Amino acid sequence: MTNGNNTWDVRFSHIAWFERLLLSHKNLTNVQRHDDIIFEVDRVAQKDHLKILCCNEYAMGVTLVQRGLAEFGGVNIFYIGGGWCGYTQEAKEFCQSQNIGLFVTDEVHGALWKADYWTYHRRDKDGNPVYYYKVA
Amino acid sequence: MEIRSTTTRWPDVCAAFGFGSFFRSEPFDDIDVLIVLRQECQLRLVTYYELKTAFDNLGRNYGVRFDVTVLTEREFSERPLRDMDSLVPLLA
Repeated sequence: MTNGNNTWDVRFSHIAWFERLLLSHKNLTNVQRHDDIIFEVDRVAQKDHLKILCCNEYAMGVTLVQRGLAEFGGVNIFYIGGGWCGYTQEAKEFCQSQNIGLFVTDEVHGALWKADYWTYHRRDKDGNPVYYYKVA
Repeated sequence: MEIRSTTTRWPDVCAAFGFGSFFRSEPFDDIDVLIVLRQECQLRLVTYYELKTAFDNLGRNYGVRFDVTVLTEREFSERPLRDMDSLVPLLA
């Protein structure tokens, strides 16, 4: 894996960490990277192919989602990082309406198992959906 | 002052704020700027790229990186940043 560069200010360490996650995922095969931050993967159970944009956004809004779609086209999943990272409700709703996954670290592993991955969400102890909306 | 003037060129920018370590007068790696676009903005992506280019150029002039976050009015109303209570108005 070369250490290229990208205009999304995604650090190589973040890209490399995500690649390791993909390579170790039991439902994925043929993991390829191009344009520094785009991963192409094949899924075993679903026998489909996904394009994943690896970025690292503190507050992922709908404008950045549109940027990703404009620059790379046909993105199936936006992976935006972990820790403090999150997305806005507007961005999540837009992605779900387009059958696009928008996930933080805690979500992406599980989503990659799900046929309709864009609907994936975690649940709290009472069974309610948990989304990683950014709120102060 | 130049940060402020950079945000005033686009009619669809309805608010702009500074936040983060630079605006707290602490040691900083980059300068965080939050831009809020009108919800009805039709050229959201065009405006985003123009703003990004403007701040990239400003950063080159001053030898510092600007980290620009762009949100819609609805997104901003959800108060998505940790620093919402300490935003420094640049244009509001």
